[in-house]
Amino acid sequence: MIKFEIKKLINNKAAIGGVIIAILILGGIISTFFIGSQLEGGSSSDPIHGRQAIMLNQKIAEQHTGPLTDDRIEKIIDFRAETQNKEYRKKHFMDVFSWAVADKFIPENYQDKFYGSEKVSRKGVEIMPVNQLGTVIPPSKLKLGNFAPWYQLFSLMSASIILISVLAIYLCSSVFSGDESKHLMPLLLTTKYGRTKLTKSKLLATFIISTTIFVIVQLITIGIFGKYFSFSGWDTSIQLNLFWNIFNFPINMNFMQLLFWTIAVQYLGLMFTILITCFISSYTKNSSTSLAVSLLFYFIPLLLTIVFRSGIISKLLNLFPIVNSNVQKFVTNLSNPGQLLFNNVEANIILTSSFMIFVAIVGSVVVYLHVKKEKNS
Amino acid sequence: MDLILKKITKAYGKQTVLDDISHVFSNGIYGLLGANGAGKSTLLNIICGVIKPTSGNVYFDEKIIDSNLQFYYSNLGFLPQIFNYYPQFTGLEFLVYIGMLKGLSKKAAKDKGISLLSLVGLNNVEHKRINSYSGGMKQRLGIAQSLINDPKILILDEPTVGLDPEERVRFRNVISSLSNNKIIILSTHIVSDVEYIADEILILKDGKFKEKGTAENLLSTIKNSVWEFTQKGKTSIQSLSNFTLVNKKNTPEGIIFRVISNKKPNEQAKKVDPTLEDLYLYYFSNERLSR
Ligand SMILES: Nc1ncnc2c1ncn2[C@@H]1O[C@H](COP(=O)(O)OP(=O)(O)OP(=O)(O)O)[C@@H](O)[C@H]1O
Ligand SMILES: [Mg+2]
Repeated sequence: MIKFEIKKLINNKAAIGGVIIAILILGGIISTFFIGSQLEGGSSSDPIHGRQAIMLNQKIAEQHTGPLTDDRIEKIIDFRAETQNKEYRKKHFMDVFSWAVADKFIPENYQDKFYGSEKVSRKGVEIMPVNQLGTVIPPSKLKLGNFAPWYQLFSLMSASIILISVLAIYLCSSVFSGDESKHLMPLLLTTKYGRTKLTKSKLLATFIISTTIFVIVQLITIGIFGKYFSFSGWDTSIQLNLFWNIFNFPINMNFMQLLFWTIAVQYLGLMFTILITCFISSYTKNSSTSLAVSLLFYFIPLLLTIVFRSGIISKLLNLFPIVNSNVQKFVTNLSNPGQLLFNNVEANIILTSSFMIFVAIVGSVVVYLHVKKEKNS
Repeated sequence: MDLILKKITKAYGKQTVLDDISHVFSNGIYGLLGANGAGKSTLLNIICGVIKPTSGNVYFDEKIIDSNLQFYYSNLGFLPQIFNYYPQFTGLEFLVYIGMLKGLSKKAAKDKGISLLSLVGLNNVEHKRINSYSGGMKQRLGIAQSLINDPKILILDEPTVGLDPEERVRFRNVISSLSNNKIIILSTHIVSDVEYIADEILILKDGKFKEKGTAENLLSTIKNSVWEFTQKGKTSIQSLSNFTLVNKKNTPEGIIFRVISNKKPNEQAKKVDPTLEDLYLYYFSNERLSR
């Protein structure tokens, strides 16, 4: 029976069209975040570009991998001064790693001095000690490493989850309302299993469709990431993603752990979104209404974050997938507990996850009972 | 196991569509006749538990149907008046789908589906997608799906719409061959669909069963009241008073009027044998001038 429900949802022109458009958009997202990244260097006319630039960036970062110490920072900045003068500036090569370190650890008022007009020079340039970063975990316990590709990966995942969710909503929003708009409910509801097993099959069908989309997109993007950037830097502390400014993130965690975390949170969020969509679908009379309402409901918390920047409403909005699926925003919030309901990271994670699970379960039970008792008056 | 309606009333806002209807259905074929908007579909949907009556209850096997819907639906076959198919399904796939929803195994649903498709004359298109079916073919597929669980109660809302004369005859034969141990209720406004096969005809009007009985019973009520007469040239409608006009036929000799009247309407009128069509029109004709 599940097979029939899946067929009803995806074996039609509109669904296939939607999937094709989604594939094109995914291609766009991948090229924007991976191929178009700074790590690739500038234009293809530069001497070092593309894969070569990525490999060189990786090599530089790996050379300087290790615990965060004043010594290491100093070495990196020395390295930058030297290499920029020797060859990289001429070759228009963007050494992302040392650039980010210099940007973070050389105070603003010394930046001009460091980059000089002709030569990059360490002379008279002060470097900020690592213990002034404000990390909650002692700096020497944190590991510096090849963070830049991971930054690209997490930015991509924050975008691709929106694509996954919108596609899943698009395909699943007619799960109940499609039958309603075909006037099939009287027929289906008067069969032996039309009010019970059928609902379960429908819910399961949306679960399978959305899970499949999720797995395929994540496999493709993470696979391309691995192939393109390798997983170099996986054990770098997430606090030392210098583009994120989450030095006071209180848990010792590396990028690989954050990747699993992100996948879990995003997946929970997707289940939440899909069950809300099923709920809306079972209460609306035609597919386009349920699609519109479901999309609105998915995006509205994001719009509200623009209106409510602080306070209890802003904290509550963090519970919704569109907000917490953004990895940067999620880890930033967790490192500023004032932004969240509890002062403690673990409590916030548990709250967010259990909220999404709770809503998903309540949603499915309500849908089930609604269909079971459905009668027009 | 009887199907019983007890004091069914249904109102949409101020409009009372069904007004305190009670009836007992035992095995047999019931023809529900009524004009557009008489409330036939409303009544059938209430019987199927899809629409909630404003008051009253439907009983099957002496229990209110809502008390055990799953049991009731195991015994029910329903053809709603309007619905659309999944265009991407083939006829057979649709039957398998409905069969499984009705509790058949996939294999059983497929076997039963194939035999039903040949029963309704669709066996040559069973693997074609439904969007390539004609209106009448879809209607026959609808009839087939209602039968897939071999239901005890069969509710058909205008099953003959869109069927050509040959298919109508086939349909009538199918239905009468099934009626031994089933309660079959079918609505129509085509009298000939039920005239010969129905064990009881119910005429629904103004929210009530205005008449009920066998075709013969019903005909006896107008036995001596159907007349025909011919008039030459134009006849103004005003001159036709004191009777119900049921038919008007143009012939070279003039216009033949067929009317229902308790008295002989005029000199040249001849008494003719009544048909159910006369009866139906007697109740529902728009051109009725007076009783
Ligand atoms: N959902 C509704 N809301 C308001 N009025 C309704 C609704 N459904 C039906 N009606 C009204 O109830 C009356 C009976 O409708 P119903 O569909 O039962 O008639 P019917 O006898 O099946 O007619 P037809 O021969 O055209 O199929 C009509 O006047 C219709 O306008
Ligand atoms: Mg009707």
